[in-house]
Amino acid sequence: MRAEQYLAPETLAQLGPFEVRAKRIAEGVMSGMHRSPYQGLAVEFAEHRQYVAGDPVRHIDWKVFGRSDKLYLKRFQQETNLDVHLLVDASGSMRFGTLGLKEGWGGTRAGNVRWTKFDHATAAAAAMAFMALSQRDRVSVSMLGAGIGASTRCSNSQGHWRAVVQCLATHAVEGKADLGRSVDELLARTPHRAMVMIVSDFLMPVARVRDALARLRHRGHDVVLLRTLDRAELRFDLDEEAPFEGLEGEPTVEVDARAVREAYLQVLDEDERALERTVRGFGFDLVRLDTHDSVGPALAALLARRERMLAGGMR
Amino acid sequence: MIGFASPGLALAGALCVGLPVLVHLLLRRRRRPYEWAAMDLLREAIRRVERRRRLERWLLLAVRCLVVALAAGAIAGPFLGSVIAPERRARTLAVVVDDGAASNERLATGTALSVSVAAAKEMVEGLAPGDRVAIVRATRPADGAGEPASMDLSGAVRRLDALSSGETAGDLASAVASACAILAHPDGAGTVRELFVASALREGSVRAFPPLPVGRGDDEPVRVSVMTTPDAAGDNVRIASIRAERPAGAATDAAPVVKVVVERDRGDAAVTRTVRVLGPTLASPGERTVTLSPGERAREVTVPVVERSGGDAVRSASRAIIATIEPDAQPIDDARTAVLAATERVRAVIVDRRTFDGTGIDRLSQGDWIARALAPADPPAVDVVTVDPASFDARSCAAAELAVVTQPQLLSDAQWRVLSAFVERGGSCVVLPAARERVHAWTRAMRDVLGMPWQASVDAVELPAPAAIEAVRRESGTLSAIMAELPQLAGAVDVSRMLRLDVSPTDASVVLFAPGAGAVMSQWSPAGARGSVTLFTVAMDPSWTTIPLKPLMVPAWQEVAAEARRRAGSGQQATVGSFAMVDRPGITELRPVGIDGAPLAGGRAVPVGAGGRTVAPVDRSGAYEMADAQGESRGAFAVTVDPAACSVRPSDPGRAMSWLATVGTVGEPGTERDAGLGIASGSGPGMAIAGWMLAACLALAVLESVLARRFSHARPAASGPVHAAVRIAAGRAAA
Repeated sequence: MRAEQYLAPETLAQLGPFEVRAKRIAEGVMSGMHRSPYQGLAVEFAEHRQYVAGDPVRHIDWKVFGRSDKLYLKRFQQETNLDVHLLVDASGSMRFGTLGLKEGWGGTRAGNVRWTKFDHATAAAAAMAFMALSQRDRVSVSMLGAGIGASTRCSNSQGHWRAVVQCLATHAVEGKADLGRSVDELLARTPHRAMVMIVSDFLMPVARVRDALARLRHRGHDVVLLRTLDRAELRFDLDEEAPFEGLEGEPTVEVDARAVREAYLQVLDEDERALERTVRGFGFDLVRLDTHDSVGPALAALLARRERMLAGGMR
Repeated sequence: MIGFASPGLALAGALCVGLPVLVHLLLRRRRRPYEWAAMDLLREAIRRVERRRRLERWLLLAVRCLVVALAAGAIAGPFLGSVIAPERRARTLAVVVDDGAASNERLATGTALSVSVAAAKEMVEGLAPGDRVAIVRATRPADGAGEPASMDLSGAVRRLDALSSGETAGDLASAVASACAILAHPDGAGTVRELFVASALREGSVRAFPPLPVGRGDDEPVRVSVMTTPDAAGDNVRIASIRAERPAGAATDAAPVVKVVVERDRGDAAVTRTVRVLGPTLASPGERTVTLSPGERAREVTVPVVERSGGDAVRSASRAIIATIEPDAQPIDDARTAVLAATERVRAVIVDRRTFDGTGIDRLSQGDWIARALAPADPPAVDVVTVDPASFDARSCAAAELAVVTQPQLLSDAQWRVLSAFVERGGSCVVLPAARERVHAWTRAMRDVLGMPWQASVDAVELPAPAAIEAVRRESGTLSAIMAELPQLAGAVDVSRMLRLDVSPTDASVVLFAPGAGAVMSQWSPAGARGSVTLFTVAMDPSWTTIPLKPLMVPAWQEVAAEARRRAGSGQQATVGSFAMVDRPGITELRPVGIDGAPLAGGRAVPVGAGGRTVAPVDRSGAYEMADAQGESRGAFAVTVDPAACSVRPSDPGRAMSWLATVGTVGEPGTERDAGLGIASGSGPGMAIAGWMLAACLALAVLESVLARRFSHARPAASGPVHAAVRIAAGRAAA
């Protein structure tokens, strides 16, 4: 498998000017570019504090003592690296796709001639992983199914991106997704506050998504939801009356596409609005990815928005 | 209460109501499933539209079933009410309407056709829903043959209203035969079968009484009724023929001679008519009054006409002329068109062997005598060419109007066939025995190839004493122009040797005969030929007869040449209702023209096929212009009505009734309708509602189209790859 199957050069070019930045404070173990909750001896000055008995003498700012005859300690903001956990939906509904496979767009399974939602999700996840690893953040990827099916360790070592892609490419896309259980398993193995990116079609009740996000919020994680949908799902441009079969074992239903289209689009719109309200309520980000569009522009817009938000917060 | 004339059809229609459901189920089986991910969203969308959608489906299905039911019901002949008695039997009525040429007769209440149509409509309107009717026209009896009668009674009335009299001969016998075939159709089994003849029964429509088809013994006899014959009012005089010719032997710029035969068709009183002859090349119309005395059948009048001088007259020398008399009971036979032949010399071919016996009068051959008789003047008006029998072929007579064979014993079979073809296309052939021959075996070829209807002896008979010649008095035909002088001319000649012909001297074919000896000159037209064959049983030789030496010789042969000219000119004439034959090559159509030679407004051109035959019968009399592929006029063509087909003389009613009685039981139309058809007393027919049902069916069909379009939620076709991709996804799912 080649890495460029998942990471098109144009995607990299579109993401190049940006950095993956955590909106919330991240607890890393190494020095990095993200704010850490720990203040100490790092290089970036944070504030002065009056000396109290027991404080280490080496942190006293002797220049201030010379000017004011008072003892103050220098405090520094410690910067840390970011842990990025990618949670990619590998349920049966992600097998849907109507776009013909294009050169350089990759594909997860041999013999697949359609660019599926899962293909699009893995492309987005691979791009984000590459971005994070390139700024020496640690990355892990987990496959979202009935639980966490497969995952990689969280690392920023050389060659880890290849392991991430390997994990994405070899996992079966089937069954139903249980977001709550998968999030619980992820939280169990994530002691520090980190960034969690969930790539899924979120074709599930919004209440379940809300429960999962609440647990992540409670643990202080920064969460980004990448909702991946096929254009046929977004437009429902069908003209026939035919039986429709679900990809996750749902019973077949007779549908007159033309008669149902209007109602379907209305239901989809309501679902999107409810999901967006939920996500915004937690202060998280939601991005919709269309499988017929390149992942680059959507991800670039996400990163740019976050950078603007962080820059405003700093000031 | 609603009933059906054909309950079987109604039942079948009721079963057809299931067709829309069946079509829906069959189409449903053929659908291939789609794979879809967002099933929860889809189910929610379906739940929202399900109630409305179900209502739409049921409504559409109900409308479709109703459309089918109404259509089937309308076909099954529905009627409202229960007034038809159960014992009533349906009727099948075949109406024969006489719309032939004779139906143009003027009666006190209109034309004969309008009276016939009124009677026919009365019969049809007396039918009840469920009864069947067929209309058979006397001019086109084959149109309805083989087809069953229809239950569309109003359609039959419309067809009757649309009928119009033509000039085509009516064939009532064939029409009655076609009507019998319609009544014998299996669809009419079990019904009361009736034949109604709506005709004035004039001789023009019923000229012959051929055998009619007789019903099978086990069938109920057909009830035959005939329209009340209208009274014949007024005389009918017609123009039986018009001959426009230039006298043979006359100068090329001589004035044409127009001879018109006025004939009495109906009536016996003295009648006077004014014959007017009109034509585009005539300087002024010619007029001549003719009176038929009581009992006089026909009279020929010569109308003097003067042609315009100058280029126009020469160029249009073959234009048509028309002769008219005052309109009477039958207007369409009061005018007749003929072609005024061009001023051309007659070309005669004499098939004779030259001898070199000298030039004395006693040395002249038979051909020499005839050549001198045909061309006595200088310059000659008849071009005479002598051809040796050995070299006689089709090219020899290609440009000739007259062929005279004086050495028939020398002709081969092929040469006889050449003569037959020559006669067939309008040529005149005269055959005489060779003077010096004793055995005349060629008479067999005359019978076999030229269709001579009699036997001729092989040996010439020497008469014990010379026999004088007498002429048969005829109003028309060869020698009729010299009929006044003929007794004197013929009485001066005698016959001493001749061939025996087994034909009576009173036969219509005989022109000259020797009392006690037999026919001297006989004439006939072979079947299908436009020309004629004349047989002299004597050779034009003094050893056989004194004709060559007497004054009869020249006028007799000039008349033979004139007859040849007339025959050749008859190629530009046809009868209404027939396929016209045009003997000139390159003619593509016949264009109707007025008497002034200008195109007739509203006239329909008749295309001419490659063989010179029109592709359709000519259905209108009058003058036509022969046009070639470039549209150039190539001469005139006359189409005339058949005088016999126009005859309005009442036919023998007793004979007509006994003739019609061969197909069934003849009765009065009124009594048949009321008493014999099993309609219960005090009951009337139910009200037909097929029309209303059809209208409702159409309205519902329109509603169905609107609803189907609305309920289909149609919108502009999706563009781009998405739609196609989902279809492919569906295909993958099916695989």
